[in-house]
Parts: sequence; structure tokens; C-alpha cells
Amino acid sequence: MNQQSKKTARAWILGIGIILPTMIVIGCATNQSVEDSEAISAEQLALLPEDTMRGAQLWKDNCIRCHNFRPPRSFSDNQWSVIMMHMRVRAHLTGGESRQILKFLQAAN
Amino acid sequence: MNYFTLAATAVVLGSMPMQAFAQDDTPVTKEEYNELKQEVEELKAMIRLLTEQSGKAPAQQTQPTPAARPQVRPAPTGDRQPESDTSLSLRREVQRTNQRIDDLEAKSLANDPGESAFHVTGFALTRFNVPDGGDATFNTSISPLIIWKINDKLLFETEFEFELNTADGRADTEVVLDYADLQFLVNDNLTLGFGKFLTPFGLFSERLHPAWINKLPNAPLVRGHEGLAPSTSIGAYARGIIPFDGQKITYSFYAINGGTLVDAQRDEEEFGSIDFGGFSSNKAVGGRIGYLPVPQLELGYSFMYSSVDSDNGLNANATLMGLDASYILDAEPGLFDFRFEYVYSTATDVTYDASGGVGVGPITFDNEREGLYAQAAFRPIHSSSDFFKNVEFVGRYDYLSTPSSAPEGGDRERFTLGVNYWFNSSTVLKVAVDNADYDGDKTRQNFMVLMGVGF
Repeated sequence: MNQQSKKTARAWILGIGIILPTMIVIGCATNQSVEDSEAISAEQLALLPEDTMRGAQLWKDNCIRCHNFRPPRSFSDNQWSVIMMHMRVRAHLTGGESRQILKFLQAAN
Repeated sequence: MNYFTLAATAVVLGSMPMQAFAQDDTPVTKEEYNELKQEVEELKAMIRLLTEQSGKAPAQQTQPTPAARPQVRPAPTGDRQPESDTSLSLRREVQRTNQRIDDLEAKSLANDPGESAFHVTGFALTRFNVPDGGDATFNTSISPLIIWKINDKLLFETEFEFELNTADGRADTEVVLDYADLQFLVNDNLTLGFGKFLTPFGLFSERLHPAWINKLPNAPLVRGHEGLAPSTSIGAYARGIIPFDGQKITYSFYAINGGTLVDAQRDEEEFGSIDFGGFSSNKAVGGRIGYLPVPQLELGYSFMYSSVDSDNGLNANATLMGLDASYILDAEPGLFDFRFEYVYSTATDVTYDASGGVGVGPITFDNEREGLYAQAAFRPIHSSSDFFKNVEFVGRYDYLSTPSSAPEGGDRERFTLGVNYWFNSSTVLKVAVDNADYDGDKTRQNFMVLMGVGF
């Protein structure tokens, strides 16, 4: 094995040696899953008014097209109003869809 | 309940919760406001009941305007009976409550965000890269995105990237303006934009490039640094939606500064390629049409026609076409995420280094290029295990073909496999390994670890 290959092998071992134990430790220490801690439960959704429910469905259908759901509590009412204007353009949402999603996020945060 | 009990209750209710809202400069949260509002309503109801019992008609307004708030009867005069201690105490408490409501309204108005609003979001990443035969390095960058909602019709947004430039063993900070554009929302279905913007060609550049959204630490070959289509452009655009029967057709059309054909004088190792990252006086037009039969499925067709005259007098035009598809499936085992993009590029045949002055020509070749990627990801979000719910498995196949006569030309394939762990919806640790094959005679592996966070 030449010097360069040894160097590469050491780097791989170093990388795997650091990352995998870190993932396992952090993973085991995470008592609550992302879904449990952040998602809106069916029971919570059922309590929402009908027009807000429509916004919740649009939020569920559209955000996941590109990325994970950002929980409603991540941002304030005012921040959501800015973010939704940005996402309306980026995600090709209609004005109506955008307003319904915003109404849901502001009601659920 | 007698008068005195009610009065005492009103005094207690009116005084206790108000202490939580002492008059200071701390902002009032929505919960605090709602709690206080409820307390005030209860207090008002009690006062109304008391007023009725004492023979005075209650106020009927439901909104607590200053004029409609429960008013205190004037102090007894002359021939009337002296006011009792309880009545006096109640009157003072109502006065204090009204004052507190006035203060709260003033504070609420002071915190009114108004029509214009800023929000800073973006993403940051730290990468550990072990290239085949190279040195392992850490690197990091942060890309703040500033969004300014000017009003309900106007939006300005800009993203810039602070990255460590590690060339030649240094660590200088490099700042890149990724995009900065003003958007005018004409109506519910049409937006006009001006400035530097993410090019709506395919999916990756516009929607999937942030470190917390891209599911692998590397970018697809066809859309990355050596990719065939631009990721950002300077110019103007119109984009919109045509909704019908629960389906959607989306469109984006733009006129921009075009690309520049790299000639041999500029780069002996990349001549023939088109540089869309620089600043050019060439012009281009293009667009993307998308179709969403259901929200989970999107199909797109992109195109661009650009004048790509080189810096040293080669006249050429380029045509780009692209297809993309994405499908999200939330099934019993978990969430599946499929992405596909294909890009084809052709430029006018020209003779590079015609005089032979650079020492690589004269050379002419058929300048057609193409590339694609297909990516699949699976995350067992319905797993009963809290750990595995947050684990995601990703695989991607990349292919890029450049003219064999061009420098560094030939076919290139790459497989990337990765495992992600999601700490929350926008914080992820990605571990991946790729295996790239260069025209069948060279193979390289990369080991990558990336910690990405969207904020």
C-alpha cells in the first residue's frame, strides 16, 4: 500500500470512527422523534375549523414536495406571513392556496 | 350568589391576573393577550350582572372600546346614601381595570408589525470530505436569505453565501451573491420578477439546492459546478399558475443575460463548455412548463435559447432542453421521494484555437452534451422506533456525457449512497459515499459527511 493510499485509508477510518458513534449516541439520546414532537396530530387537526383544515391539507400536500414540514410553531404569525409570500412564488402556489396555508399556520402556531 | 360575593369575586378576578401583565416594556405574547382578554370578558360579565342587580341597564357592545367599557357610577352626592366600602372598592377596581385595558391596547398597537416586514432565513453547512487519493478536509459555509415583504404585492429577497475559499491552503472568506430579486405579485396567479434569480430550469437549482433540502452531500453532476444548465440568471421573468379541476399547470418564462462559450484562449481544459456563471452581454430566453395532476406528482419541461459568443470572437448559439419529474409517496412503510432530471445541450460547431496559437488547435467537434440523475429516498416515518423514524436512506445515479473530442470529454457515471439522520425538520446529518467512473477507465470514490441546518 503506497503512502497516498494509507493516507486515504486513515481518513476513511477517522471519518467513520467519528461520525458513526456520534450518530448512534445522538440518535439514542433523542427520546422524541421528529414526527412526535413536531407533527400536527389527527386529533389536533379535527379541532380546527373547516377552512383552516383546508389550509392544513394544502400545507401537508405542498411543503413535502421539496422539504420536510416546518412545524407551525417554528415561526410567529408575522414571520409566517413573510415566509408564505416567499413560498407562494417559489412553490407555484396560487394566492388563495397561500392565504389558506397561512391561516392554518397562524392558527396552529 | 349575593352582591357582596360577586363584588369580592370581581375584585379578586380583576386584580390577580393583571399582576402578570405589569406595566413594563416586555412584549405581550398571543397567549398572554388571549388570557387577559378572557379574564376581562369574565370581569365585564360580572360587572354587568352587578349593574343589572343595582338597577342600571347593562352596556350591549361586545367590543371593549373605551366609550363602551363598563363605567363607574358617579360618587353618591347630597341626598343619596353614602357609598359603601365594597362599592367604593369595586368602583376603583373597575377604574384600574379600564386603565390596564388602555395600557394593553397601547402596547398591542406598539407591537403591530405593520405592512412591511423582514425575515431572515437560510441555511448553513459543515462538510467533511475525503476524496480518493486526496487530503481529507473540513469546510463550512452559511447562506442567509433575507426576505423583505414590502407590502402584499411586492417582495424582495436576496441570498448570499459566505464560504471559506480554501485554495492554496488558505481560508479566506468568499462572499457570493446567489440571488437578489424584486417580485411583483400581479394577481393570485401571476408574478413578475426582476434581478438576479434562481433559474427555473428543472427542479434542483430553484428548489432543492439548500443543504437541508438536498438529500445528499453532493449536487447532481448535471446541475452542479460542471453542470449543463444555469443555476442563477440576471434578467426578468414572469411566472404563474393555471389551476383547473384540482390540477395545475405552472409556467416560468424569462429573458436574461446569456452564457459565454469558453474558448481555448480562456481555458485550455474546458473549451467548448458554456459558462452561465459569469457576466455576459449575450442574451437568452427560456422557460419551464410544469404539470401537477396531483400535488405529489410533478412533471416539467424546460428550454433555453442563448447567444453564447466567446470572449475572443467566436460566434455561437446554444439550445438547452430539460425534462424533470418528482413523485412523493407517503405509504405504509414510510415516505418515498423520487427525483429525476435530464438536460440536453447543443452549441454551434466552431473551430477552437483556429490559429494554433494556444497549442491545442485548430479543433472542431460536435458540441452536444447531455446528462441526467435519478434519485430515490426512503424514510420510515411510520416506524415505531423513534430512532429509525428520523433515518433516511438515499441513492442517486448520475450520468454526464461531453464530446469525446473536447478536453476532459467522455462519459461519466456516478453512484452515490447515503444515510441521513434528521434531528428536526431542518437539521440533518448526511453521510454518503460516491463512486464515479470516468469513461470506463478511471474510478474515484469520495466519502462525505455533511451537517446541514435550515434556519
